Amino acid sequence: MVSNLEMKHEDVPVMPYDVFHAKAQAVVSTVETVIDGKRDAVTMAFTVLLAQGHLLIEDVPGVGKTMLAKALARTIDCSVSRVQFTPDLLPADITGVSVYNQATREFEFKPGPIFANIVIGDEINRASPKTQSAMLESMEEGQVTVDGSTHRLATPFIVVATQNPIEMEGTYPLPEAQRDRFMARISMGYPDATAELAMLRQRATSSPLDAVRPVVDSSELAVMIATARLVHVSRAVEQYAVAIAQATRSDRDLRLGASPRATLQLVRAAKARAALDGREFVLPDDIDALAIPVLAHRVIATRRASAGASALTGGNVPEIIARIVAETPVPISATA
Amino acid sequence: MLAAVGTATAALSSILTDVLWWFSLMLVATVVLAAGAVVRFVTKHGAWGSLAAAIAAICTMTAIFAPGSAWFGIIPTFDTVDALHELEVAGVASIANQSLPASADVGIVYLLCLGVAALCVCLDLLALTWRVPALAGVPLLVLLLVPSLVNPTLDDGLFFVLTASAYVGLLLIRSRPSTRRTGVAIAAVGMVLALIVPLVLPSVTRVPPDSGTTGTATGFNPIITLGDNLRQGDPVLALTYTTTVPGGVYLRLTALDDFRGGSWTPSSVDMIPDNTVDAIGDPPGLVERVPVSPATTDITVANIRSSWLPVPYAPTSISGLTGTWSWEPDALAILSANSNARGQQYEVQSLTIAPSVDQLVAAGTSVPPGFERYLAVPDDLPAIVASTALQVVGDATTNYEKALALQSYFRGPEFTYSEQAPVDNGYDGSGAAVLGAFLVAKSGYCVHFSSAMASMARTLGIPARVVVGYTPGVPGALPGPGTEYRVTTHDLHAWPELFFVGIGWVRFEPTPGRGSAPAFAPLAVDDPTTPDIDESVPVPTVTDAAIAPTGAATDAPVESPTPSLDPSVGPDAPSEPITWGWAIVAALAALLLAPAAVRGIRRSRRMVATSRGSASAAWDELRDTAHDLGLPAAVARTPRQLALDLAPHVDSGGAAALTRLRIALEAEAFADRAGAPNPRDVAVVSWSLRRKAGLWRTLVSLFAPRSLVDPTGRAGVSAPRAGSGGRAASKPPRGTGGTDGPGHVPDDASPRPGGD
Repeated sequence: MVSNLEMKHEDVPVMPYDVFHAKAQAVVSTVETVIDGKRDAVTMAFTVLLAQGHLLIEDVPGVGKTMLAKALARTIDCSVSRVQFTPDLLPADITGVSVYNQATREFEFKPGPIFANIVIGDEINRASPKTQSAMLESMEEGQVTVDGSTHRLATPFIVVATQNPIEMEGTYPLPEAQRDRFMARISMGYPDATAELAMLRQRATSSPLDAVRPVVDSSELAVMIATARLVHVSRAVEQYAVAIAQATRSDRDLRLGASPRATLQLVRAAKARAALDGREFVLPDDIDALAIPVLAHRVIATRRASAGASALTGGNVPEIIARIVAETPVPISATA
Repeated sequence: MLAAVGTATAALSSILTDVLWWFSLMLVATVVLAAGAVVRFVTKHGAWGSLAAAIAAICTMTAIFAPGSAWFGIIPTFDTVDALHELEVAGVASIANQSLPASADVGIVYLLCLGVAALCVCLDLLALTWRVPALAGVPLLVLLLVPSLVNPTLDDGLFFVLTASAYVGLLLIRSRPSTRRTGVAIAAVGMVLALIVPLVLPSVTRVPPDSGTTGTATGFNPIITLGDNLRQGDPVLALTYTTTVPGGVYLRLTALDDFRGGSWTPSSVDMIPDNTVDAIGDPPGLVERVPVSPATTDITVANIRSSWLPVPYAPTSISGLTGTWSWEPDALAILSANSNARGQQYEVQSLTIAPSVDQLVAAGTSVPPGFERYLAVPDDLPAIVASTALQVVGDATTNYEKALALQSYFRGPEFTYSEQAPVDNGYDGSGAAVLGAFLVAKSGYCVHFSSAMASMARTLGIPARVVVGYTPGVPGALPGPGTEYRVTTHDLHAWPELFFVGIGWVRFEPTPGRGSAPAFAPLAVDDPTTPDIDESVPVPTVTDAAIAPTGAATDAPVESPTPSLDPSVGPDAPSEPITWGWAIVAALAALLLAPAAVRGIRRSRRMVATSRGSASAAWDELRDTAHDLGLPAAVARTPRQLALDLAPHVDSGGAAALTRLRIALEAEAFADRAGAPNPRDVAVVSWSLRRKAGLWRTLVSLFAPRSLVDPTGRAGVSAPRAGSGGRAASKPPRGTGGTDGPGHVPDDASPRPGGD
């Protein structure tokens, strides 16, 4: 299978799925030494990274959102930058500015923090909408245009944005259109008692982050990303993904359904998840597992359906998505 | 649904006259179903619709049948209940007293409407509220069965096919697309079975209506059910009696004296209230010089639903009856307008008339005035009747000699007794046209012999009528006075009575091997119950070998005819190898096994597909097996989820096989590779599932596979599979695990504000 794919895509180097799996395991395990008991969140973050999407981590302060992003960046030997979003942050503070160089008598572009493989946007919803959109535009385009000249961003490029729940003070909620640019939204959740206890012990003397050593370099990551793209998606799985997306558009509890981009990203994420699993094909289980992270932040529940549910918990949307997934038949029947 | 009810009720037209009743039924059905539909549409809730249908049924019945007693004409009161109860009683009485086809009087229409209203409520409940349209066929089937139960000779398949088609339509309309194919398949199999099974099984259609309560279904013409009673497989006790007459007595129900209409019927007589049974008039035509002896008979009727009372000839008084009974002067039949012979216990005083041969001969050929009507024959009486009669009597001069000649002719070797031959050859009955066929075929039973002899006697100028009643039956263990005789439905009989001037009506017995011994073996008195007289009379020349030994024959139990008479026939010979009961058992068994059969066919097809390499067929089979066993197996579950769901329900061997099948399926469905499933694995997992589920659930799964009615297994979906990332407010059970590697996704606890 792999060799076939290699022949088809000779220009793109790929790695065998078992090697892929081993490397992915190493990354996840390493990150886990920093973020205890959050294997699922770590895996999801790495999945999004491999699928070349952007990740939105939404949770209350102090549960390790930034730590996760940092640890992931350190595990992979690549450039990392961090932007703390504040209300007075300007677009140029992210993209970079042209500075007049006295020596050369020319304007020189000083790249902003966005020129890195992994960009950590902390508390993105604290920035003004203008700054938010500048950031999100570059996320979508993969390039930045300053003073008429276009600058390509690094590859791989992933934005890991963290966000406080919108009910917290001093936040500007991301509009739907911008939320749609994130491949997935996850939340960390509180650690359980055991993990929290272990954390206390671990951090008594030093930060565990210092002990993290890269296990994958950026070129290997590029190969992994290329490999994940080649994961086979059967017609049945495509139908399944489309059926779920279609169902969100006609569901009685949803005011806004999933966009075609959402379907596209759902399948792309599912490919990365399958590759992480060491599989060369996508299972409907991948779609199932990713439906809520990929879809929940893009759809809007009706007023009736969200009544009584706090926006902090995303309304009732995760439950609605779960119900839709549970009701959508998996097209495997021989007669189907 | 209305169409199904309409066609099913139309099937009743074969047992009811005119068609107006059908519109009443359809009115009721329309109102009830429409009420259910409207309320269901408005409330969007099935149960309310069915409730509305039930209320509409009650109001409609009230409005149609007892509007005067109800508030606003539709809301029933206690008076309504009384009024409807009266109608019900009238309907039951009407059904009991009418022959087929019955005229649909108000009582019968009421009962039918009641049934249809109940049927419609049932249909509404089954097909719409409970969403099991397949079961709605059951009440329709009941309706369809009614005509064939009441009149087993019907074989009209038209209404069956129409109703079955409407039923299939019902399935098409009400089913989801995925269940539709299954439903139609079931219905199609059912139709085919229903049409084939009766052809394969021996015929059961000739079995009489209700074996338990049979007698002469009273009607205007008791002869119509006589043949059915005789052909009935198992005799049913009709009555028992003790009598002072040695050898038992013939018990008459009524005389059929009107032959003008083409068949023998009782001439219509009005009830004469003054003719109370404590003093019954003299037998017609009897003069004092004929010797008579009084007799007493105590009769206990068990199972005769007849408004005619079985009594010996000639009754003088009856005591012990309940209800109002009166006697009819010509036939001396005892009848009641409002009561029934069933369960009656009474004592009959009667006269046994024993004329001498001389007196019979002396009666000559004259016809007394007023008896001309006993000579009338229909215009279309086949010529063969009169010509045969003339040929048979030859040069006999007196009426008595002619009668004897006729009797001997029928009891001669040319004729055979058969209850089945007339049916098979299409000349059953007592009509004029039948007689011609009978005289050619020379095979029939008492109805044919008696009506033929009576008809021929009439053509010869002898007043004659056909009497329907019972032969003396079988005496108990101790013959002699006080012996109890048992009379069954097989003793139901018809015989001719001929009139002789100065003597009155005299019984003859033309039926060979059947009925009482040949009363006229001795050229003697008519009455077979007076053997002492018989023996004193010389044997006439007309006796032949077929006739039982003289004298003794009159004493012989009628149920044991001498083998020399006709060994091939006999009332006890069961003509149907398969009885009605067996047919019901077979039908029930077929019904019971039908789901299992459909499921079995599906299973074997999938196994064939599996052995050809279709992993999805194997998986379908596995999922349905689990679903049949009541395990959660929705089609919305992915293979891994399902495998995880089933893991606790299989043993280790089953689990390994399950994993192999899952891998095969995933390869086939999602990796586009050949899956190479092993059919053995399917069997191993199925067996493992069944063993864990236990015997009872396994049996239920085999005989009532729910995958047939709910192929999606939607009912198996319980908790939503949330919890894979995102902001799940709760943490429902995970269904997404089971991956080969670390492919887990975030599983969040509920985030709460604060706590930084």
